[in-house]
Amino acid sequence: MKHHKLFHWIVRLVCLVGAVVLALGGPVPSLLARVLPGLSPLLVLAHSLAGRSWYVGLFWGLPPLAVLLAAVWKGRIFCRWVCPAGTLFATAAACKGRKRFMKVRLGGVVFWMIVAGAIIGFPLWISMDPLSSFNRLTPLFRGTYAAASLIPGLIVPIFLLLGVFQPFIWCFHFCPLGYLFDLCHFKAPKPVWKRDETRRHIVLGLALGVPLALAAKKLAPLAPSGPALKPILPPGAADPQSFASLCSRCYACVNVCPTRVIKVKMPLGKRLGQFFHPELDTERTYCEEHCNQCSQVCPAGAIRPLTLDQKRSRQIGRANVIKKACLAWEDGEHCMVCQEFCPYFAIEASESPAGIPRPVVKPEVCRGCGACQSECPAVRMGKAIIVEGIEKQGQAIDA
Amino acid sequence: MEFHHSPVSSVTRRDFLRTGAMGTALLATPCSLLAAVPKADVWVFHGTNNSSLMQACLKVIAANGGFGTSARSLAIKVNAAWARTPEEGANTHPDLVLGLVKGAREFGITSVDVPEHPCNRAEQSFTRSGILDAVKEGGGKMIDMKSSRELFSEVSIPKGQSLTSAKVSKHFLEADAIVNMPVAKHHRGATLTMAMKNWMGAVEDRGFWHRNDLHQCIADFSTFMKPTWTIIDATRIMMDRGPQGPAQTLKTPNLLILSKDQIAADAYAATLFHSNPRKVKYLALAEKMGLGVVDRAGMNIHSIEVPA
Repeated sequence: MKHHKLFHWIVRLVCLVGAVVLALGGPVPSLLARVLPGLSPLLVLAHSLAGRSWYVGLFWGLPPLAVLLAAVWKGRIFCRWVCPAGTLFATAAACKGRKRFMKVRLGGVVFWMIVAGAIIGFPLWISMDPLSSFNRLTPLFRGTYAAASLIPGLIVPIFLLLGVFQPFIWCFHFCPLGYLFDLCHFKAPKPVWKRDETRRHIVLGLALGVPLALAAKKLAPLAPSGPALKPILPPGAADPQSFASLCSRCYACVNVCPTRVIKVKMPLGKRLGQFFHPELDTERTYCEEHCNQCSQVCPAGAIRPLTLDQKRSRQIGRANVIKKACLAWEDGEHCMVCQEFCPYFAIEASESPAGIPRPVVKPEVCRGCGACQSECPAVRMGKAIIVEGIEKQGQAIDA
Repeated sequence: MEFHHSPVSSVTRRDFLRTGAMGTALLATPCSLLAAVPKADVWVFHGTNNSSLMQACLKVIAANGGFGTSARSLAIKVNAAWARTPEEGANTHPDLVLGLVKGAREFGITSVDVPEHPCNRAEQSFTRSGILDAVKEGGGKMIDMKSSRELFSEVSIPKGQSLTSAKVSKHFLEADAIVNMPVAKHHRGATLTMAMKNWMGAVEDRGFWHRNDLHQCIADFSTFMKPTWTIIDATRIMMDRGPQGPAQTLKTPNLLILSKDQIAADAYAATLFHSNPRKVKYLALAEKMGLGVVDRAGMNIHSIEVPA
């Protein structure tokens, strides 16, 4: 018995360390950043429902399928042996807290809310998935300066703390993935569908899920402060609305981005459904020409895979010159750094009467990578060329 | 044979007249000015094999004082700024870099540093350009100047007009000898970029140069930074869409230009693009400031054919 317990903990710790390594990258290829959040069958279910298609390929589809089958066989076996969040909560449970301040089990409600949202194409609460929640902690340790990721990253630490007082409060009272495992566990002594509360969970989940998802879709920004720019989404993202809802906030893309241009911003001036989704901040760095890593690691299908060539011609935003701030337009300097850095020749020179070249953006060629903005040397009024996201990503023309 | 069509050896009637006209103009200038600017030696190597070009170049360097008798450390300023392949001509050709890094050992150099403050991220530009591999293979050390602010030291540039101080890569300040080895190419901001402008990749804040008269700053920095040798890679030159390219027109003069005077080297290289080097404003400024030779008449040009 003792040996069994020791073995159990060794497996759990190995899985926990493995999860941390996968999430942080480092010794393993960055493509593996999607493995941990991609293990969740809940994610695959929600996104397939919302996207009305099976979005995940055979290779990446097998692990979550295996997890699901394991649940049919043994219920919450994944929670007890593999789930890194589960392992953390188990360590908190070792404190043997005895409080029971949370009595109702909401995991079912959350699960059915996700399903309801997914059916109307907006799986809003998918960010409650524990594997994405665990992964969400990692941008902090990668030095991505995504301070805003702290807030959505708090789920695991908060429940770790609560778990000290009431053991496994997350796992049994909130976790939608754990509920899915219970739901699949046909051979359980008392399967979920035979429980009295199940019907209540479904009704409550649907009743709350549909209006909340609709509201999040439609609700105006909370604090529209000034002319807010449209967010620049990672290349391969669908339209802003779908992206915001499909994204499980696992931040795998934030983690793998070699230039750290993908960040998490504070939700000022954003719709409820757009809170804390990853977006590009091209003020200091930019999206590289020969890179498609973010599009390869999204486990949720919010960013669809692009080949390097497809990525190279993908239009994710558009640059605008602010003439008043521009060294060439306003100060008559020989600058054109924006043109120099543009890998796509999207900036043309319009010569002044005095022979000074001044930048003009060709909107159909501009990809919105932000190389121009990040390298613009103007300081008097801030950057003189600024990239804004576009409503729908498309194909740019080669100059 | 192709060499005879290059502007180096064939003195056409037009060139002859132009040189004559320049000579006349020079004769008309006061003698004191003439005396101030001695004739600059410029060696021009022609050949299709880059390794052989560098071999020939090193022989000339050896015959002309090498890197100094007591030089043990060498810092090379290549151009490895862009995530472009060697064929695209946006960076110094890696074969030339390899030849120099390896060849420097023969001169008693024990450590070769290749610091670069690239435009694109180092991981992309150093690898795609092939230069990182070349430096490693040659036994040198490539340094990404983006990696730490500690790698720069502040220097003052007393003769500068717009640029009076700059934070410069320490390696160039500490090395016994310096080689400036840029690629010659079109540049939409600065007209052309060759040796003088290459030093922008050794300073921390390029933005200052752009805000404060780029051409003057380039000329100013040349009053401070005087490399032991300047080797300009003109094996293939981007005629447009510089500095990043890929160019629509890429010419292959197959030349390597060597001089101790980086302004003379630039002026020579400029003639591969247009007839008058003074079209490049920083060259005109450098001439005005008396930093080096811009006129062909002020140079001893040694043309050397290098068999492949």
